[in-house]
Amino acid sequence: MTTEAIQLTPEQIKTSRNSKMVFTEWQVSDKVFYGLLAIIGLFILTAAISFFYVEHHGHYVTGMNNQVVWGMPHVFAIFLIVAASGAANIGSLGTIFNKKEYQPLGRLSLVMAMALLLGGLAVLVLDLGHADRLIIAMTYYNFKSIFAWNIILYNGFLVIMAVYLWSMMDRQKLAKKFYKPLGYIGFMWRFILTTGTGSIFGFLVARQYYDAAILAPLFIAASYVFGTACFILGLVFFYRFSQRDLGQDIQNRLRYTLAIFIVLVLFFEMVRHLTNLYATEHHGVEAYILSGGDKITWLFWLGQILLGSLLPLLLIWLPSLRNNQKALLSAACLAIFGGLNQLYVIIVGGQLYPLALFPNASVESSFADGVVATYSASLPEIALGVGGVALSVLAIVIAVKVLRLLPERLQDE
Amino acid sequence: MPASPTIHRFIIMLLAAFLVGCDSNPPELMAATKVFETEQQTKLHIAEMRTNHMHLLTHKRDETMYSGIRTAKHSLNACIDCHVPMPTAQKVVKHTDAEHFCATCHIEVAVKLDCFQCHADRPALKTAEVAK
Amino acid sequence: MNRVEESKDQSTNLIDRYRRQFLGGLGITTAAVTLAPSVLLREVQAKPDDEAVTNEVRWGMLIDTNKLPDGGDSMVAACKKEHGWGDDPNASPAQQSQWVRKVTFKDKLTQHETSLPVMCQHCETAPCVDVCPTGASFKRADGIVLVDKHICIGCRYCMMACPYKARSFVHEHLENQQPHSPRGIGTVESCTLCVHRIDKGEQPTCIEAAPPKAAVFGDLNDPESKISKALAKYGAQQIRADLGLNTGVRYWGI
Repeated sequence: MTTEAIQLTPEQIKTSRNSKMVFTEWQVSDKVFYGLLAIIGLFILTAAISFFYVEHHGHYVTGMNNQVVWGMPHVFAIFLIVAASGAANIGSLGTIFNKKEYQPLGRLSLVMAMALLLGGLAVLVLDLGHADRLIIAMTYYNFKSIFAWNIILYNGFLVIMAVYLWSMMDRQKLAKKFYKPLGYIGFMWRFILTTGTGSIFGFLVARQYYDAAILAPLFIAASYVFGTACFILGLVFFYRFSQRDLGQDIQNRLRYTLAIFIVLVLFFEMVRHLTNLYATEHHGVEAYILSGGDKITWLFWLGQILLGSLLPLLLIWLPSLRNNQKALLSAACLAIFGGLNQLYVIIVGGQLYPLALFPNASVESSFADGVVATYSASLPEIALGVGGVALSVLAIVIAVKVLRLLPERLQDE
Repeated sequence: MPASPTIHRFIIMLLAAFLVGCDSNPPELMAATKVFETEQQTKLHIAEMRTNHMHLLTHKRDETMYSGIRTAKHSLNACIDCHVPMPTAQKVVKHTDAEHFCATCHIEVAVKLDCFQCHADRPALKTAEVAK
Repeated sequence: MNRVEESKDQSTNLIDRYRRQFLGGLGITTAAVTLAPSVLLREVQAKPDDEAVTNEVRWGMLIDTNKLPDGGDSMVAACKKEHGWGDDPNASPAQQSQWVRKVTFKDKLTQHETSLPVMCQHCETAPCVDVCPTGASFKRADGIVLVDKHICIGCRYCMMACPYKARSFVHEHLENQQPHSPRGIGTVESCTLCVHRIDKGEQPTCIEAAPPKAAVFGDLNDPESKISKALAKYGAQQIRADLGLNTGVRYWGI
């Protein structure tokens, strides 16, 4: 295994431009690779320790309680799952929409999607009150539950992406026959999967902040933001560290794609909030989220809207920052940060606001009725969530090192 | 080159060492607080339970939960009332103790029990008195 | 007011007659059940142990908040004692299980204050049953919504889905549980309508602990039962009736 970047002579570049795209493993020094693995391994170790700690003592050691039943681990888990769906989009753009510029990126896109999904599922499963009963979840199904459907959708996603990847990587004619069909199947499956994830919340009549059909398309739009942002970060990172050339063309395409999706998310959020503000029934929860002055309000306006949506748009569209890679990376990071804020506001914020058992009345009880609940993420929860991210990164890093996923050149034509 | 008899014997002894843990007789179980009328009933009960107790536990519990069937044969409390001594001021036998009826075998074969995460592992005063 | 006094009389007769019938009829009941179960008018009668429950019966409760001077505190205390929830040693107050709680609300316009005990409403189309991925949250044929803790994986989705916040999650290892009320770590729990008592022909412990005439329990499918008659005569309210869940627990005075 070479430890230097493959240097092609100008003649080689000229001839290979007319031949097929070449994919090679990620070439990076052992020091960098194993150093990276060590850092990732540390985060995974912390997550493992936190899982065993919570599993041994019970969930009383976490910040989650009977009012806020889903906390930080679920924010991370759902982020990773939604990002997985969006990361696979780059592959779809090449396969279904026949955009030739994206086709070389298909392999990395699919592997990233699978890795992100694995990380998200790991966090979700490890937070269960009875993680040892996972086999029950795989064998006892209540088909009215969107959760049960999601289990099938997530596992199916992994299978489809794996076969789709094979159709990209295997040079046999048989494999190539599967390329287009799986592209379409994968695309539809992704839509259903992300609709299912949004519907986890959208189907709940109980909570004032959920029970909205718009959550499904909102999650689909968000998946494109998260997935594209993660893909940008991964792509630039792998190319920088193996001294490959990443052309401005592809970076700009990804840049403006990200911007369009951020605008789409803003649109859906705006429609959602405006509709809620129109209905008296939802005034309470909207006032709490948008102007309650609580932590949640800061996370929404500062975290999600300003830093997570408007600032990335600025960084992407400012003429003076055109072709600026640092601006692109910052925009992607901010979009991810904004996404985490968005999910926190949806998942935790939706639970902090009390249930409306008796509208038009002030309510109190010994079970936090009528009052806004409090939630403070505990260290085991954060460690588990971050560990899921680390698991995804580990999977991607090992995959690009071992498999031929990265195009040799992505220079401008 | 054929191995010498000495090496053969050594290998057999080494392998035999692994058989030390193998004992087909189950460990000594704590005596039940109630006895059957006849010896034959006791033997039948022991034989049936040794073969079937897990099957009975997993399927009868569903019948109780979903259909509300609560005969004595469906009741875990009935097993506990017989096989676990009533707690006294001096001694309480819990499922984490080695001498607890269920724990004796389960510790021996290292199979985790999660029944007592939810179910009471000892008789309650009231049911024990009713049983008398 | 007329309606209150009328219902007071009605309820006195209701509960007393019920009690007489139940205690006196035990002998007859057990015999009659084996001969002709469908012929007998049912109050709460013990079904045979080996017989499966059917949807001929739908259990329900009617709580008259006007007759609860303590707002249901005694009912909450009785439930705590029967099932052993409420003082798990390690859980924080927000993590402590609450199968039933007293909720006090004051209407913003009228400033009228009402207190009532709120527990699992045993909805006919329960959202918690719909969302459970494994089917652990289920509705028994006779209308009682339960958690099969054997297959509960502790995902807490049912807790998100319940409009009444009736469900609690057990956050720690428990020991010395009540034998008739298993509850354990990592699973979700809620009011079982004292299913262990119902199956023996008794009534829920909160009904017994409630002040006289304040709460009735019975078969909603039997038009001759005390509860059905009271509901037919005076109607009743559901909490969050707008959700259309057709709850088994109804209230007067909310």
